[in-house]
Amino acid sequence: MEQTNLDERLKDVMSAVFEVEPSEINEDSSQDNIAGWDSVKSLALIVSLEEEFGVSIPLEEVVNMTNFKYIKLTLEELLK
Amino acid sequence: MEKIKYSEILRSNLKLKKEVSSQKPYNLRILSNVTCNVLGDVIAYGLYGQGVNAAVSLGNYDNILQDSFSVDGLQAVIVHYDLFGILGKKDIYCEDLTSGQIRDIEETLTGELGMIIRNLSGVPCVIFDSFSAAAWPVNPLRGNQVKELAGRLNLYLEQNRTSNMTIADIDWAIRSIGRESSFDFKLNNLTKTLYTIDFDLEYSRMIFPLLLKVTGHGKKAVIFDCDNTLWKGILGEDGFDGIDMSFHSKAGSFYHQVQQMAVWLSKHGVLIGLCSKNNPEDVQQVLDSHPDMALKNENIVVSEVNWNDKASNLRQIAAELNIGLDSLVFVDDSSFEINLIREQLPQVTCLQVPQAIDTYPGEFARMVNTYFFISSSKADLEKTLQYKQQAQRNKSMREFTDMDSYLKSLSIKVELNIDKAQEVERVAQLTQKTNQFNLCTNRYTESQIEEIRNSNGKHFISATVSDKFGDSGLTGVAILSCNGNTAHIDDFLMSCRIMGRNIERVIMDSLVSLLGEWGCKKIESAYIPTQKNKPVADFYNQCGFKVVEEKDGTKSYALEIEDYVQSGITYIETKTNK
Repeated sequence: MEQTNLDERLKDVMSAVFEVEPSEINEDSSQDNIAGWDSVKSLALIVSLEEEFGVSIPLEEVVNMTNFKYIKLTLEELLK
Repeated sequence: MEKIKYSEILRSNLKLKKEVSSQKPYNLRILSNVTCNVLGDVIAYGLYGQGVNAAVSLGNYDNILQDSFSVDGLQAVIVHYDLFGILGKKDIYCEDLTSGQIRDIEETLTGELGMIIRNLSGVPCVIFDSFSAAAWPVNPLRGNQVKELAGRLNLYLEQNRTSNMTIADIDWAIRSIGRESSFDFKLNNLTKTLYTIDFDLEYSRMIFPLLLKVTGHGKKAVIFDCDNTLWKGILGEDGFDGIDMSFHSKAGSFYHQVQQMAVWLSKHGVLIGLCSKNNPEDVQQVLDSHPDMALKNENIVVSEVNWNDKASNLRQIAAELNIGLDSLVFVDDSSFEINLIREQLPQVTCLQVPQAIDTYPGEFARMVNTYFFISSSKADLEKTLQYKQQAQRNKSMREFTDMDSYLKSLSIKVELNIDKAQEVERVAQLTQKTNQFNLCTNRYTESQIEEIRNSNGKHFISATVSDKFGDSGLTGVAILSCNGNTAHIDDFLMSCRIMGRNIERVIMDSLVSLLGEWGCKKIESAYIPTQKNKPVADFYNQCGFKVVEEKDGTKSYALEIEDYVQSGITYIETKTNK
């Protein structure tokens, strides 16, 4: 998958889950700077990502999906 | 509901919610012992789409009985009591449970169900999900005691069903998408969610006709074209003897089956009408005397058989029946007519007779299941009554009349440990993830807890809770600092899993006793508000602490130990390991 494409799709999903504009999501977005990123939103994020990218995020990785960079890395790994 | 991605649902919900905000809210709550946040979003999406200002809320996790006591103002309640959530607490393989253990579970559950049903009897619409054993991969060739348990519990629901209550057979939704696609054991492990979004969508489809009906958006009438819709052939060309809707013929039988369903619908309050381009007297003759017609004059409430355009006719029909166009389903074989109606009267739902005629009855049934809720017949209700009488004779089932006697039956045990080395990791975890029942919401790392364990003036108390269903493990934490004869409760928190059983009061009883034994005279603490911990804003007040200062929502409390009044709760056994 092309880099930009993945970036855009990820931003799209995150913006839907966190109820912000896609432009507000960037490389540095994380649980620390996105308001309302709680356990409920984390659940919504995992469900949405698995659906959007057709992957199953491993159990041990789910708890680490707390910032844009890590999520992107994990997805890249899964999509290889 | 069409196949749609969850992220699109979330995005649409934001927009749709605004569009319906001027409507009166429809309050629906899901009570469950598995996490149902995604399902809540899916149901809200469906209702918003119908123009309903859905206010979907979730009860506290695994607090179905407790929450069933406060349902004022709710128009609908969905109860999903999952056997997987119940039996999952037992540290034993389900097939290895003894008959005594199964009986215990069944007695407690039926007792709970009885109370829940009574508590919900004033809610206009109650959807009770059936019990299912589908989550366990037990070989179907052998007897399966969980499946048998589910069957008995479902019978109990059926026997005790009240008139406002509908039982939703979740096995239907699981079968329809497949077992593998229905469960998410990873998310269950992490978040206590059990079902996939695919299941949530299928389940919503299943209950949707009922939600449409109770929100006043159900369809009311099915209007049929005649030629190649009620029968094979064209009456004006093929003649009375040339048309075919015989139960015994190859092609005709499919039309006959659709007619049979229409007859059944008409007996259950669905209005059946005709809208056909034909000579009215020809159609009348068929209705009066064709031997192969299942549909008769008595089933048909409105008929516009003429040569006018069908949009005008459908408008006429809606006016005659005094219902909105959006209450109509129109069935026709012609693409021209279907497109005309879709264009001119988009409010009308259309079903085109499929090319492959063998799929017609199935498509028709699917349309019925999507838009019409046919409540149980009088005969069903009479059957329910028989069940009820039978159940009354069967006195072996326990009945709980109040919350206390129910809680008593659970044999809840609370065990408190002080600075226990083996609990350090889990105590830290609990401080990290607990939001609701958390008075101060300080987060601690493992090494910070370890420090507390090794310090002189500070202590952590960990509480484990078990009941007859099993062991909930570490579920409560208090962090204490002692300074002379004043103790400070730095943190007090509990997992939401055990909320609603008054366990927190008993823990406080034990804490106060313990601090008294340690020579403390006074206890201080605080409630610091967050977005999530509103449920416990008055916890210290309830325990008899006095507010000494209030600033920006933060309340500081103090308690003279000699003034403390023990809760007097006798149904929970407590033990403090000193």
